[in-house]
Amino acid sequence: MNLQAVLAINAIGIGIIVFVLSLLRRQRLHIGYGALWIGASVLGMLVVSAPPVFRLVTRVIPTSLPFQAVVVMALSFIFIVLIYFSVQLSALLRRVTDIAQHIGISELEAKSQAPERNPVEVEKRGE
Amino acid sequence: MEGPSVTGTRGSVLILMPAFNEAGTIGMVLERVRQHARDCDVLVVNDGSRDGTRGAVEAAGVAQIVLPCNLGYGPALQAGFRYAEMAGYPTVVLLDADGQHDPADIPRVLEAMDRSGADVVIGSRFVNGGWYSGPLPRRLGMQFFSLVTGLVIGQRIFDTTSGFKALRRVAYRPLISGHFLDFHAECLVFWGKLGLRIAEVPIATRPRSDGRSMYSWFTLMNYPFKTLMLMMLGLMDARRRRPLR
Ligand SMILES: Nc1nc2c(ncn2[C@@H]2O[C@H](COP(=O)(O)OP(=O)(O)O)[C@@H](O)[C@H]2O)c(=O)[nH]1
Ligand SMILES: [Mg+2]
Repeated sequence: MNLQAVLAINAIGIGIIVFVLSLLRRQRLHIGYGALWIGASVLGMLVVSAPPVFRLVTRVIPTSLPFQAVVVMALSFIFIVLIYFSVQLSALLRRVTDIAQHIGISELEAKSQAPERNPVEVEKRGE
Repeated sequence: MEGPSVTGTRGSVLILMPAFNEAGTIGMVLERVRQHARDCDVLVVNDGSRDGTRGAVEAAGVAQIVLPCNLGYGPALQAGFRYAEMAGYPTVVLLDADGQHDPADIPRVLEAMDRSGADVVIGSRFVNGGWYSGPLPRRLGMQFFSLVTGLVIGQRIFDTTSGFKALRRVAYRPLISGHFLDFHAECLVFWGKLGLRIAEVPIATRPRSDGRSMYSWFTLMNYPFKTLMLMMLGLMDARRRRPLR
């Protein structure tokens, strides 16, 4: 890869790291996700900056142009992360749903047990 | 019909009413429920409404599960099913809070359940040649899912999208967890494959007088895909389970 491309990718990588660090400092990002993005940036910078690592990557991902190997790598990473995030979001959604249902039901039960609301007389349906 | 209580006496039918921002109609609907289903308990699932729904339900003296945020129709009803299961209700009736369903039909739906021995009774707009005058895409979608459901479970269900249903415990218990959208076709094939008996009785519906339908054009575009996917997931799930009947 030519020097300009390497410099550009490193600049982007440093930009991402700085941005992620500032998010972490302002507690806008969970440490696990911060580590994910910083780790990925460092790895990407390493791949394009260290010729032996770059050669290894181009051998593992065979493309007609070496640069395309980097693109394939980046796209696969993004795709995997998106799926991972969808799974995480779904887990969060399930937890929020459980908690909300639990709160709603518990509040109803607490109320029904409050002495001033009891006893509630209900006729039995034709039994 | 003061609503469910944990320690008080309880009826055997729980009317579950999902409500999201229905302050304009729910009071009247609850009043009509009081007139027509005196011997049923009533529970509103107030799904994080931001209008006066909560106050209207309180004013009617009816119990409600107030969800702290809007979960949507399916998960909100699942909260209701969870409660019904804990409280041991043999039967729940689902009824909309927007006034489109007439509480006067509740006794007929319950009678049909007793008479036919069905586990699920659908208050149907179309059985006996009823007609729905909504937008064409929605009508076509309803026809499509009615056909698909019929093919899958071998019983023609004319109204797969009705929100007015009576369910025995055996039918609502398996819905407490798992993927369901609006308990429509995806749910009918699930019940059918579990061996539950489904019946349809005609009901009257009215156009919405207030508030907004939960179906926007966007959800209506999504609906067929989601429902078909859920149908397949439901079939796979049903195959893993033992038949309930
Ligand atoms: N719990 C809950 N209920 C909802 C939600 N959206 C709509 N509903 C209720 O579901 C019922 C049917 O909804 P509606 O929008 O009228 O559907 P439509 O009649 O098929 O157009 C009404 O009682 C609504 O109040 C929601 O997000 N959560
Ligand atoms: Mg409606």
